[in-house]
Amino acid sequence: MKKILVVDDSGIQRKMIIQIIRKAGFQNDVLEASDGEKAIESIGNNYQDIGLILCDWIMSRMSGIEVVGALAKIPLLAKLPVIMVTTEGTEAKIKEAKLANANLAGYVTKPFTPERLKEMINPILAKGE
Amino acid sequence: MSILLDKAFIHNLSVLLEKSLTEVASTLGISVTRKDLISHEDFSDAVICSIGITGAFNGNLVIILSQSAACQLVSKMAGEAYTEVSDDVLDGCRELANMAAGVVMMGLSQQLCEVNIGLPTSLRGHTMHVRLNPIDKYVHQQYSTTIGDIELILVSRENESRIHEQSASNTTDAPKDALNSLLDKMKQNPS
Repeated sequence: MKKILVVDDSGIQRKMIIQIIRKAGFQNDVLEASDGEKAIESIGNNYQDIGLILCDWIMSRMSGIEVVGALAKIPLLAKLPVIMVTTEGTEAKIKEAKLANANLAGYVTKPFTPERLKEMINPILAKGE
Repeated sequence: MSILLDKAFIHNLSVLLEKSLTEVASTLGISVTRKDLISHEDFSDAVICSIGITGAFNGNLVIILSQSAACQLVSKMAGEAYTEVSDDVLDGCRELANMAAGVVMMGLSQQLCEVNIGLPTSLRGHTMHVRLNPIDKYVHQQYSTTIGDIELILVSRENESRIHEQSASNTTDAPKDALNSLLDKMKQNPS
């Protein structure tokens, strides 16, 4: 079973997301990263095992948009499913994210309901990717 | 483009501010009722969160809640009980400010008024005071909620300098370095 990487500078937000994943019935191992640099490090160490990345945008040190932009430039990682989970929900920001990574698998704007996150992650995790 | 903070715009901010709390609270199962009158408390035993706003205007969104309300809020967020204000509770309160500011930012964007939000901060203490600059314009609201009272202040000042370089000023070599490091790892361990 593939792992899920949750990237958010808020530990509480990561807990919220993991709780939703568990309540949705997914038992995948979850990796956590508190900023973009740590996310890149985790991806570097685990990229063959990661099936989904949930990534915040605004973080110190390295932002989520820089992470998805970096992944898009590496063919082996470009198709890793990434869902942005962020307060940056304006149309301009969504366009910016899709421009940074054309393979973006989804976009969830905070605040979100558990149902909203579940409907985004279900199709990806159900495939067992 | 900077905007004029006239009475109509301040009213607009007030509507968005109310929407921000009700929207965030509803996702957490917290019901909120706006109070008609503002009671001037000294914010003792409080947690204060603040997040900067730049762009069409500059300002801060400030959220004040009791330590008890902060613990209950974060317990609902994380699904585990917090009984005293820990780093986790302060973290959760920052996330509250982040989400509320995000709702305000989205609402403004739909009206073609673009702003950016910064990283939130939070602190706790006794007998703290929030001082407002008399030249700033602000919206001040108080709510009664199922976790205790919550106070919101949206401070705004006109931005004549039309600051739009915020994201550029945050640029560092960190992404490039991290990417290079990732590429090195992949070369050493190809799939």
